Amino acid sequence: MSITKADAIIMHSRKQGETSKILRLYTREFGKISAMAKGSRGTRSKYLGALEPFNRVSLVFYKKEGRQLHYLSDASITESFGNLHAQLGKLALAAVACEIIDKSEQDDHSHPEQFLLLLNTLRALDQHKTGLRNIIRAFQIQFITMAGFEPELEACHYCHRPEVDTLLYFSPNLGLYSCSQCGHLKETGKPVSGFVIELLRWFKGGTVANAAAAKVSKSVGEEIDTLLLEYLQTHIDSLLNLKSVSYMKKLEIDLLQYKSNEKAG
Amino acid sequence: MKYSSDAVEKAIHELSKLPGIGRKTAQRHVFYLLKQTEHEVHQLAEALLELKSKVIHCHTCFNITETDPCRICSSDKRDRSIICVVEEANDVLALEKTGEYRGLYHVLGGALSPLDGIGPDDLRIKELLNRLDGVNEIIVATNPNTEGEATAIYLSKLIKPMGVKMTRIARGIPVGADLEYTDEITLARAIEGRLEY
Repeated sequence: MSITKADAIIMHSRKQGETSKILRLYTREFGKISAMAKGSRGTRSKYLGALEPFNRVSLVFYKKEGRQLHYLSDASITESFGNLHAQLGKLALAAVACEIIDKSEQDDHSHPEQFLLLLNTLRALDQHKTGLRNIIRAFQIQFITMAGFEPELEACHYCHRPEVDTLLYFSPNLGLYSCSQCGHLKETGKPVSGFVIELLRWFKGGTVANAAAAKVSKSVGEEIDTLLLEYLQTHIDSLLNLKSVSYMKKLEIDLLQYKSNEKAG
Repeated sequence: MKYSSDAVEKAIHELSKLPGIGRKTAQRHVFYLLKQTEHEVHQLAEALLELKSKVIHCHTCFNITETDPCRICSSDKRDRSIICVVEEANDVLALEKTGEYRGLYHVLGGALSPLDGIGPDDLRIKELLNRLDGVNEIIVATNPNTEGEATAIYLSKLIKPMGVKMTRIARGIPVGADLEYTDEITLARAIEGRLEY
């Protein structure tokens, strides 16, 4: 057992016993790890506020090879993303990013690029006021690319023509599209608009922060969200039941329903 | 190791189902109970049975009670224009111990949690909205963590437009703590919520 330091993002925390917490952390150095923070819920705990989800912390912990649960020795906040905690929408989107990493990554597999992607996504969500969903869309496509399932979006797979038509056919299984002239995936692919492919190219190639600037209509946004989720779930089984996505849907429906009731009343 | 008595095994098995109690601790409790008089063990068994047969949730505030409505909801001495919203029934007990609060309560039964998929429908929010007639103030006393804050924001979005005053319990440094060891988020909240002498 050795005492080790790590740069970590808290992805999830749950209560353990009377005063402790079990944390799932994404670290730059060791990838995903779980750690027990004994006594961290006590009112006099030195890291009472530090161990909240989405905080970036400087971590000191006892690491033992082969053990799945490590023991936390110290944690201090390096970035706290205060705006994330102040807005329901931002919080829900941050949860989507963390849950995708949490459910798809194995313990103790270091992936510094993915750590930076999650960090930049949380920063962008914290700093931007608009285009928040685009940030998560860019996160999703960049994440799946890093995970080894890069979709082929540069051109039609069959005729290699980069120009997009109004209607294209994308195959989530194959991760490529066919133009309407080739029409190869007409039967098996999903019909998508050319604008969706253009946006996905932009989200994939740029930074997550820049993605916020894209102007996306509600219908195009829904088309991208459905496509991305299906693509993620086709290639990574563990992402089939994303609690944060169902939470977001529940929250939207509930608030919308309430607003319409209010108007009707 | 298994004991030769099935009754001992059964008692260990049942006690080890309790949170925070493993087989070893359950064994110690069972041997302690074996040393007690029959009357004392009967009293414990009766108390446990009464828990399930007598304790119910108040249909107004969802606090645990033996009468419906509970003694807080039915009391004439309580201020009916204020409702304090808490996550669990334990929180009512903690607030009652202060003796500072004389209004009513509403127990949500948890908090919104995007990470665990707990949405508004999983909490007693609709029941709270049905209690707002004649209420001037809602005090949101959910825990000051990510889930508690999300719930507080959600409630204020729903209830504030209805013209009811929404307040949040103060957050900051606990009594007896050291500033030196307090993290920056807690300190920032303590500064935000400072009061004039």
